Amino acid sequence: MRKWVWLPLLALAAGCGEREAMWESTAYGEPFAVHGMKGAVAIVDVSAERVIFASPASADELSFMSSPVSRGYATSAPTDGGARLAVLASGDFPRRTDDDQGPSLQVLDPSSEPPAVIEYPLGDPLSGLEIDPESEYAVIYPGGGEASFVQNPNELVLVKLGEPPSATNPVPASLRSYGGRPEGFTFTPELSLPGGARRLLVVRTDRDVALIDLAEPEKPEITVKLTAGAVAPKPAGIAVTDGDADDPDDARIAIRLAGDPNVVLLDLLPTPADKTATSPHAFTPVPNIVDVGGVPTDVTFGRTDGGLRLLAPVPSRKALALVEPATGVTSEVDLGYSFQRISLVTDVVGESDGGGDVALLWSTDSPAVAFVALGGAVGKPYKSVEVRTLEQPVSSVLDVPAPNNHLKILASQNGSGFVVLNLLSRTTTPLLASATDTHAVVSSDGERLWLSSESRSALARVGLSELHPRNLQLYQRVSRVFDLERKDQGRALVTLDTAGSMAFTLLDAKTPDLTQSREYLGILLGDYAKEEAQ
Amino acid sequence: MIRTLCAVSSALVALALSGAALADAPPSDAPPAEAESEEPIVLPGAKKPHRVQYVSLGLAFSTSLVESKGLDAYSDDDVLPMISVFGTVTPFATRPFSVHLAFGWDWGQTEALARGIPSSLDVHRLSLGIEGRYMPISRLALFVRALPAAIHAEGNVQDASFADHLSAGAWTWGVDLTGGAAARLAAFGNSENPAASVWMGLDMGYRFAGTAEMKLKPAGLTEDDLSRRFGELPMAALDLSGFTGRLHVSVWF
Repeated sequence: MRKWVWLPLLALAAGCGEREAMWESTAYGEPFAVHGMKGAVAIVDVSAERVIFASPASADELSFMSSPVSRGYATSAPTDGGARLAVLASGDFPRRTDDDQGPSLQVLDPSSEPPAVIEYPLGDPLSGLEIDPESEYAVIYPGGGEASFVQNPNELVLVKLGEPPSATNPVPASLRSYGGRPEGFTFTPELSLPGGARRLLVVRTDRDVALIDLAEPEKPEITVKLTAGAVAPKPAGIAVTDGDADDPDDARIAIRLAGDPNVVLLDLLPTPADKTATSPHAFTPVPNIVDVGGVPTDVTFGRTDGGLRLLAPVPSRKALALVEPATGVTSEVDLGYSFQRISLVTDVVGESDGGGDVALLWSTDSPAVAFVALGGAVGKPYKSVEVRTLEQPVSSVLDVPAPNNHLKILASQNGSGFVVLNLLSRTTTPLLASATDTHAVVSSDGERLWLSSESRSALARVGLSELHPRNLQLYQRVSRVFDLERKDQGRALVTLDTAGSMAFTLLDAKTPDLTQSREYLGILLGDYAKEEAQ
Repeated sequence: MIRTLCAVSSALVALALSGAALADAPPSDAPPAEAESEEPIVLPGAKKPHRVQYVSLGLAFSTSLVESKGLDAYSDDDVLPMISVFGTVTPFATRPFSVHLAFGWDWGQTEALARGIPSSLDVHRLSLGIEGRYMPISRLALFVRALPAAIHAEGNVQDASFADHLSAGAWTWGVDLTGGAAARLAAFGNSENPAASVWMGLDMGYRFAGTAEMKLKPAGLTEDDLSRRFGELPMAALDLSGFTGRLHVSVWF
């Protein structure tokens, strides 16, 4: 007891008083999650049980506020295009008193001060969170870090993010299991299905696939068992097509299997008449297995002038497999390189002459990209293949929003090389950095590319219209870069230095000038709580 | 250091107060003390005249209980220790009740780790007020004080985000309302009419203080840093209000 040295007459009083627990935590090595929101940077300060929002009010000012979050942080993710932040917490475990918090999903809206909070109580602490790309739903699932004594790994909770919490929201769902557990989720776009248009949630386990009808999630899911005998193929990727929008019977789901040349095609057909009395669903998945000739590394659906095809790059054959989904007939496009990934770029470059899609393929082991026009030609299932060689294989591809959505940013695997690929002119413009830990961030208005290096405290702004790099050397390290919408409608660049108690540097994104920058140091030490307006 | 000094002084003052009480207690078989004393000044109606000393200067060790969460970044607990230099001036000599002009300077410091980062708080307090004193016997004084003050608080954090350190400082106001007792330890010159006397005492009360808005920003800027532009971050506001106690040693002239 340290207080014994104090005035005897104050001994009782001096013995009391403990400071808030956050001050006993350390700013070094603590788990922090950082998210770029629509108009703010969000730092989930786990030890302080709060989320700090830093919003650029002008080119010269960052405004701060915070929102308390529940104890037992599990994970977080932005929703609504970054307008809101979903925070999953397990609460206090075990929960022994009324003051102990239960598990919940909190959705924070930083557009108001203090941030508005919607809390969805959960029955059990779960640690996995998947957000619907259309921000209608969130799926909460056992992520493996739970502290519960007994748990069903196939138990899911579906939260309707657009609705307030109620007796029917969240919706619990339990998958029929054949021994697997959820590993991935795919929210489909709205599909024309028997029984009406609806969205589906496709759940991948390590051995089967389950379909949940998001229009009626309380209905039992449909589990498609992929296991054949002792062999348990593992679903590795999903592709979805609605087929003809006017035809409710031609929606399909393709399931790529890990290390397997077979692709499972699920035709979502009307429930057979003899099963309508027992099936709660108006549609039934009918599986077909198609061998694409080698292990595919990606799948998507595309249109040729001959109709819809499943497209699957097969690196071992240096080919792109085209599968006619109704018949399973497969043809190959010889590419000359092994490509691993595929993406349709038809919305940018337009249809090929034959009316087919155009696909962009890139490789993680060959220094090349390829454009495949799927319009037909005599004796070929495609119109053309155009390969562009690069200096390095591609590790990742960044999309660029409009007005420069005809550009793709290809990051090379050496960490210092980048290529700006123009989908229209098919040109490749290299951008070379002098640091191997260079990261690329594309602004959400599609006008700028930011390249940064944490080790060099360096930053470069590349205007995507002229591809001219403008280099800046900051005082702080550049751990993360955020190009944000300002409150005064301008654009701000906020860089985060995670050293110490963290620091922000604020610049004007359109005309970054270090002499006009402003630094905010000691972020985690600040008190940003604002009282709720009466 | 402040905490150690206060520990020693707390022991001393306990001894002093008990000693003063014993010294002033009349023996059961002796005549009353006032019958033998020769006081230099006799006021009409006064039960017992006392020696008036016009100036006092002293050193004090005090502590306050500060429950403000603004202290949390700089202290492991709610205790703010302080050292004080203080004094009084007596403009009008009356007794046994007298009113004095009181003044003082307090300096307090506390250190801690703020999220693993070394931090400290320095508080300076300049006060000017009044003290009401009652001396029932020549060796004991009872008093109350009202001391308005100007307070400056400065927090420092040795954070890795800046080469030197981060600092947050602010001025605010304060008023101490305390009361206590002091015992005479020694006298120089005539025992009943000393030229100087040494006193030790203790007072307690409540310290009212305004809220210091603490804004964190870099400090110790070098010439290279002068061209940089820094924003300020709000830390928890610091309110130094709370119960306070003070041990003091003073010399009265």
